[in-house]
Amino acid sequence: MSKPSGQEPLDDLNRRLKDARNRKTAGTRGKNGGAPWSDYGPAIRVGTDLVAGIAVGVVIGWVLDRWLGTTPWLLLVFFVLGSAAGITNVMRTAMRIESDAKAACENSQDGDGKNEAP
Amino acid sequence: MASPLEQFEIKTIIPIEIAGIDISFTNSSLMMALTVVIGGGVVALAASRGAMVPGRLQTIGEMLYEFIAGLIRETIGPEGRKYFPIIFTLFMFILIGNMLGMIPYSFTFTSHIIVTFVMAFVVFIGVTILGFARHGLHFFSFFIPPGAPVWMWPLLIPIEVISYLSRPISLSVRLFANMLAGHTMLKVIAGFVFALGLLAGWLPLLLITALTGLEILIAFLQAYVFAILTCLYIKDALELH
Repeated sequence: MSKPSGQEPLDDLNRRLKDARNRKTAGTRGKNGGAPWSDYGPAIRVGTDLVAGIAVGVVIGWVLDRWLGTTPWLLLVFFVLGSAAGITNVMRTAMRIESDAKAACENSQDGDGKNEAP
Repeated sequence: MASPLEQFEIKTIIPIEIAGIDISFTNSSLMMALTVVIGGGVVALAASRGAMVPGRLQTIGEMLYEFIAGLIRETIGPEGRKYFPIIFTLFMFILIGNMLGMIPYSFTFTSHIIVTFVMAFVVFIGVTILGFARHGLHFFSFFIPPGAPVWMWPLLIPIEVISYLSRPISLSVRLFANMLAGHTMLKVIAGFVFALGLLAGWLPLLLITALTGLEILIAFLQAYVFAILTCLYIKDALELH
């Protein structure tokens, strides 16, 4: 702990408040990012994200085909587009997990460093 | 032996019909009403005391509040505070609904696609309105991936639009399918306990004990995933990419 100098009690208070706030965010992040079930959340997300993309593509293609009488061409086109959308969904989730993990890692190191600083 | 799907049957408790539309009070409505009463009651009672040294209920209330507030702070940032009520309500509704469904002989309303779809659809429409209110017609640029060359747009825009439309489907099917599959599995294995009897029935009994624990975890996880995805969608609508 540092000794508050008589002239800058407010600065010292600000610094300590900031430290406490950093600790708080680091703490919650660690709790959410380190729990054993936290990896399971994204895992159950990707499966349905992929299927939902394909399903929406197929439904759009099927409806347009029936409406325009172009069976089965639009269904095929939208199946491919839907698959691409599904894969895009999965890629986005994966990239988000990676960036979150990176941020959590940096944040926890950051937080630890500040907590240990005299 | 009872069918493992019997637990999902909708039973009318009070038949009501207005203008030819069946709006009967069913076992599903009963569980939803109970969920609202329990959820509202827990939060109201927890907040009523406001003691410096919290009691049991207040600790639970503060934990739930802190959990969702932390989730919003991490995913949306400080701007997300405004959306705390809707996210907290959705989380509590799904969590308590799932947990009540774990009680034997009760009914799991989240195992019905229409219930989960309505919630996902409300989130979807709300987020779309938020996006338009915040950015106006500029919101359409959300469907153009940043940095993509113009000649790729005719291919990429349909993909982005399908990806956007798949959100409510994905959100609702995930919750519904997990609850349906989990509860069916529990009932099937419970059936084995009786079918195998005293001789070998102990094995499925052990299994079902472990699986009940897993199901409680999934009940919580699904509420958590629904809440976190709502946060991510709100963030997307606020920031566009």
